[in-house]
Amino acid sequence: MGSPPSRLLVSAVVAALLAVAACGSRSPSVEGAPTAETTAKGDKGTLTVGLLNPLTGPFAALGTDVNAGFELYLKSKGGVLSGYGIKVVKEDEGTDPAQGTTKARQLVEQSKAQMVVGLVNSAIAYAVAPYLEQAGVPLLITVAGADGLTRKKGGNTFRVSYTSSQDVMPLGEYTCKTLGHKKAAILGLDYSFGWEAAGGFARAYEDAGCAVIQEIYAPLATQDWGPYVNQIKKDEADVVYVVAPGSDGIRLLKAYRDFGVKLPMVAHGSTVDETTLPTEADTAEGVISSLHYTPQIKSAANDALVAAFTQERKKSANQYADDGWTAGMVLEQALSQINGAPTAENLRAALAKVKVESPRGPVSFDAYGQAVYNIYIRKVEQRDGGWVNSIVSTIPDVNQFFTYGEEKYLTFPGYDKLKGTWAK
Amino acid sequence: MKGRILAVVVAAVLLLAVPVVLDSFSVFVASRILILGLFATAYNVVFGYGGMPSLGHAAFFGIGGYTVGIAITRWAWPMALTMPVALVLGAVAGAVFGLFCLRVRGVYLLLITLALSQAVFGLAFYQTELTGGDNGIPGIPRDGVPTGGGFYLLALAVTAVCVSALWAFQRSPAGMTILGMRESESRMSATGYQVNTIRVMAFAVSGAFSAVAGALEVYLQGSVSTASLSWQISAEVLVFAILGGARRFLGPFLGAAIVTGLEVWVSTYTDRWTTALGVVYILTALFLTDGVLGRLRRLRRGTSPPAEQAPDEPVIVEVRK
Amino acid sequence: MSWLTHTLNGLAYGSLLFLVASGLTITFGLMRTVNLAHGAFYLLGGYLAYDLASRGTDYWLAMVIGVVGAAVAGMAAQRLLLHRLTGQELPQIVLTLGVALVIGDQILAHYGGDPISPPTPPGLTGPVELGALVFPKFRLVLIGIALGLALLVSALLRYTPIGAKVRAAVDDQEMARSVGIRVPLIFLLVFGLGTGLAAFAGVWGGAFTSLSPDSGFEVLLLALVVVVVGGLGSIPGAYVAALAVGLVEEFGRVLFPGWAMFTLYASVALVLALRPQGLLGKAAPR
Repeated sequence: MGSPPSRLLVSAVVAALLAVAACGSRSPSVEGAPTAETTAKGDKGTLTVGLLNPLTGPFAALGTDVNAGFELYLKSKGGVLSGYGIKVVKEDEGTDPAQGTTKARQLVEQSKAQMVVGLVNSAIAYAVAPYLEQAGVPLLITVAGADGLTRKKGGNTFRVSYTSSQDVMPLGEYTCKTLGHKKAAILGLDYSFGWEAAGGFARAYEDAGCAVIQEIYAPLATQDWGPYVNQIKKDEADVVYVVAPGSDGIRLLKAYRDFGVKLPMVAHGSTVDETTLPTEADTAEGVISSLHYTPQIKSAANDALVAAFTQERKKSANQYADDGWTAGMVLEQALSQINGAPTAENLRAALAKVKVESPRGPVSFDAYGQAVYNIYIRKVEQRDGGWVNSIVSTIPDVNQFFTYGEEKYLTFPGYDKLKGTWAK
Repeated sequence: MKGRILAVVVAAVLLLAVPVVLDSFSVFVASRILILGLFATAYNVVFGYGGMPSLGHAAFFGIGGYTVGIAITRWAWPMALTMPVALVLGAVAGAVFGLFCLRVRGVYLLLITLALSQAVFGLAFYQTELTGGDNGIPGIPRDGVPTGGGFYLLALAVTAVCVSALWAFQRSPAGMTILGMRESESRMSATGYQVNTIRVMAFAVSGAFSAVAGALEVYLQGSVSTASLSWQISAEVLVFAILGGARRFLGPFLGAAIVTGLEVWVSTYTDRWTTALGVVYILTALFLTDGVLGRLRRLRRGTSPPAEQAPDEPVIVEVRK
Repeated sequence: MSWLTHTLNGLAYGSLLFLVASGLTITFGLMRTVNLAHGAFYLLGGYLAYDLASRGTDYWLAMVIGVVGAAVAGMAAQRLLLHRLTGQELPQIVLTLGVALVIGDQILAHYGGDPISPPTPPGLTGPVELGALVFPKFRLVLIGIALGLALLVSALLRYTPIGAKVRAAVDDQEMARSVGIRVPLIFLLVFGLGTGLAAFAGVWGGAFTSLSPDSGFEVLLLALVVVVVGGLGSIPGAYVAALAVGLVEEFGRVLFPGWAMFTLYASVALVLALRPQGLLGKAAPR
C-alpha cells in the first residue's frame, strides 16, 4: 500500500478533491436568489416549488439556464409571487429515468414540493409525468419536447416550451410560400425529437404545395457529418432543412461549409440557438430558422430578462432562460387567481387559465396543457461583433396542432412511423 | 453457529421493519437498493466468483426491463408471466455473451462484453416499434403490483429468494466448478471438466438473475428506456462489486447499498456530486480493492495482507498479465 | 466522384480516430495501464487550448500549452495515484473512471456545459477545390498529420535509445531495472507522452467535432475500439485499424443508416471473439 509519506500525499490529494466537491454546494444558480433556507415571507403563505432540471450530463447547460431563468425572475420579485413566498428546492434530473423518478419522488415525498418545474430529457419526462399525475402534483415542463407529453386533456401536466413539431410547422409553410424554395432535402437526427421536428416541417411544407425530395438521418452524437452532408442531392434540392441541436448542430454546420455546399439552409431554431451560436459563428451565417424565442425580441419584458441573464451568466439569453423565466411568470399569474390554499386542484385550474405577456410574447395553454405562443422566423446575422437571430417574420398564436385543428391532427400517425415517407 | 442464526434473525427483522419505520421516499430508495443489490450479487457470479471481469451486464439488466415493458404494452401479457420470461431471456443472452467470451481473458473479456452490450444498446435504440427508441416505454401498467411499502416487501421477497438461490448455486457441485475454473483452468480441464461449458453456465446464471433485477426495476418505475442498457450501468455494477468486496458473497450487495445511498444523499446537498462519486471510485481503487467487507474482516483480525484469506473464502484472481 | 469523396472522408475520420487512439495505444497497449481517463485528458487539452485562444493567445502557443498542461496533469495522476496500482487492471479501471468523472465534472463546473470548439489552425478553414472534387482543407491536413504522427511515434519507439529503454521496461521490469534503467521514470514519461497525445487529439479533434464536458466518453469508446482492433501496443496496428474503422463507419453510414451503432460494436465483438489479439496484434492473449 506504499510507504507512509506517499500515503499522506494521497490523502492530501483526496482531501483536496473532496473540498473541491464540497465547494459546489447546492447554491442558487443565481447570486442573491432565494434558496430553500432563505424563503421570503408572503402574505398568503409559502409554496414549495421543486426545480427538476439536469445539472450533470449532456443537458447540464440547458438545465442550468432554465434554473437561472426561473430564479432570476423570482429574484426580481423579491422571492414572492402573488403573495406566496416561494421556497425553491432543486434536484438534479440526471441522465437516466431511474434517477429522474427518484429525484421527483424525493421532491414530492421528502421536500413536500407542491409543484414541479423542469425536465429536459423527454425519456425522463415520460417516466416522471405519470408519477406526478398519480401523486397529484402539477408539473410545468420547461424543455422536454416529445409531442406525446401533452396529448391528454385535463391532466396536471403543462408545458411552456415547445413540442418538437410545433415551432417548425410555420417554417415549412414559410419556406415554401414566402421563400419560394420548391424542393427540400431534410437532414436530421435519428431519434424521436429529430423525427418529430423533421415531420412537422415536412407536413406543413408539402401541404403548402412543395415537395420533400430526400430525407437523411444521422445518429445522435454523430462525430463526423461529412458522410451525411455529402449525400445531399445538390443538383435537385432548392433548400436543406436541418434539425441538430447542441454539438451536433456545430458539427453539421462545419461539415456543410467545409464541403462547400451552397444550398440555402433552413433549420429548427434549436440548431442555431444562442447556446451554440457563438461556436457556430460564421458557419451559421444566413441560416433561417423558427423558434418561439430570440433575444432580439423588442419588448420591456424581454429587455428585463436579457439584462438580468446577461449580467448574471455572462452569456447571451436563450430559449432556455426564457422557458425558466416564463415558467416563473406563469406560476405568478396562476397564484394570483387562487384564493386560499394552493392545492393541486386549485393550481391546476388556475394554470389552465393563465395568459401572460412573457419575454417571448403572449403565452397561454390549450386544453392539453401545451403552451400557445408566437413563432419567430429568424435569420442568423452578425451584429456588434457577435452573431444573433434577428426577426424576419412573426406568426402569432401558434398551437401544437398548427392550422390543422386538434381533431384532424390527432388522427395523424406518430412521426416515428412517418419517418422516411415524406420524400417522394 | 448460534451467532449466525441470531444475525440472520436480526437482519430479517430490520429489513421487514423498513416500510413501517421509514418515510415513503426512503422506502422507495430501499426498494431500489434491494433491486440493485440483487443485480450486483448476480453480477458477482461472473465477476468475483468466476474471475471474469464483465463490463456488459447492463445488457442483461436492460433485457429484463424491456421484456416486461414490451410484453405488457405491446402484447398485453399478464404481469406474472413476465418475470419468468425475463429470467429465461436473461439466461439466453448470458449464454450468448459467454460463448463470445470463450477465448478471451482479463481486459479482453472486459472489452468484448462492453462491445456486445453497446451493440444491444444500438439495437434497442432503433427498434422503435418494439422499444420506443430513445423515449423508451413509459407508463407501463402494473396491474397487481403493489406500490410503496407493499412493493418493498415484494422486492424483498423476490430478492431473498433469488439471493438464496444464488447462494445455493454457488455451493452446489455445478457452482463449485466455476470456482475451480477460476482457480485453475488447466487443472479443471485435466480432470475432465468442460471449461467452456462452465464459463457459459456462469454467464447464463448471472444473466438470468440480472434480468430479474431489471424486471423488478421496471415493476417499480413503470418505465424502461435505453438508459438501462448504457455502459454506465455496467461500470456501476462493477464498482458495487469491488467496493463492497467481490470476495464475499454479500460484498456486492453491500456495495450497491453504499453507492446508491451515497448518490442520493450527496446529490441532495451538492451539484458536484459526480466529483464526489469520482473521489469514491478513486478511494475504492486505492484502499478498498478487497472491498469494505474484506477491510472490516482484516480490521477485526488485526492482520493486513489481503493474501491471507481463510481457505474457505474464495479469493478473486487479480486480473494481471 | 462521390465515392472518392466518401473514401477520402473515411480516411480523414480514421485519421482523427488515430490521433485519439495513439495515446491510448501507448498507455494501455504498451504500458498495460488501463486508462479510462484518456477521454478526460483529451478534453483537458482541448479546453485549455480553447480557453487560452479565446483570451487572445497565439494559436500555436495555445496548442502547446494545452498539450503540455494535460501531459503534466497525466504525469501527476500517474505518479500520485496510478503508479501504486501497477499490474492491477481492475483497480486501474475503477481509479481512472473516477479520475475521468472528476475531470469531466470540474470542466462542467468551470466552463459550463455549452459545447465549445478549440480554434482551427490558421488558414485551414473552408474547402479546397480540385476539379469537381470539393474537400475540406482541414481534413486533408489531418490525414497528413496522422500519418506523420504514426511514423514519428513508431520511429521513436523503435530506433531511439529512449524507445529501446521503454520497450525493455515494458517487456521485463526486473531485467530492465537490473541493467540500470530507471523504470518508474520511464513509465512516468511514457504516461506523459500518452496523455499529451490525448490532449493533442483534443485540440485537433475538438476543432473537427467540438467539445463538451461529456464528449470525453464518446471519444474514449471509439479509441478503445481502434486500439483493440489494431492489437494492443502496436502503433502501425492502431493506424491501420483507425483508417479501417473510419472507412467502415463512413460507408456504413452511407449504405446502412440506422444500423451504425449496432454494426460497429457487433463487428468489434466478433473480431475480439475470433482474434483476441486484434487484427494486426502478434502477442498471444493472456
